[in-house]
Amino acid sequence: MALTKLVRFLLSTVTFFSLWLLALNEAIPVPEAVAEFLPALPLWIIVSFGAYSLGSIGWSLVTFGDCEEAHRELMKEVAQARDELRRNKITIDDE
Amino acid sequence: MASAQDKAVGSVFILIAAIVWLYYTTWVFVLPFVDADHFLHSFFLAREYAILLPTLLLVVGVTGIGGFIGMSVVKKQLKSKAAAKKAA
Repeated sequence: MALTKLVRFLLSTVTFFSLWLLALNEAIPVPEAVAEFLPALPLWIIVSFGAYSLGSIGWSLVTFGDCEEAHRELMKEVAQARDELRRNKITIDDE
Repeated sequence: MASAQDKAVGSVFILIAAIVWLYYTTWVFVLPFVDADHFLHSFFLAREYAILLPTLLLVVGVTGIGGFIGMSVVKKQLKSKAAAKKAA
């Protein structure tokens, strides 16, 4: 079957995790400096990913182009649609 | 362009993300190689917290998300049950 993104992600995650476990138990040679921060490495990756996600949301907020005209047009179309449906006696259940 | 409020919120997000990342990266990668009596250590909590705090936050976060999903599912089931009872 095709190599989906999920499978690829799981493969890289499992590989990294097993390498990390091996290094932690000193089954593979690890330079002494690296051993200092090795236990915290996966958690650091997760925290970095969280920070990157938050930052990218913030960046999109700052750089997003507000399309005033499209907004007005859309609101008009919504009002039109609502009137039409009301005319045809369909009530929209707005939950 | 984006409203001023959007820009403000966005820049706050970016700032928080940058600060959190820099603080945590220093905590994990720089502090182990700095002498124990250097003044830099006074800015950081004990190293156990570098593992404890994010793990705690992660557990709370995932529990919150799971709880919210569970609540939504239960609410939906209750609603469909009430609708079925009304139709009967």
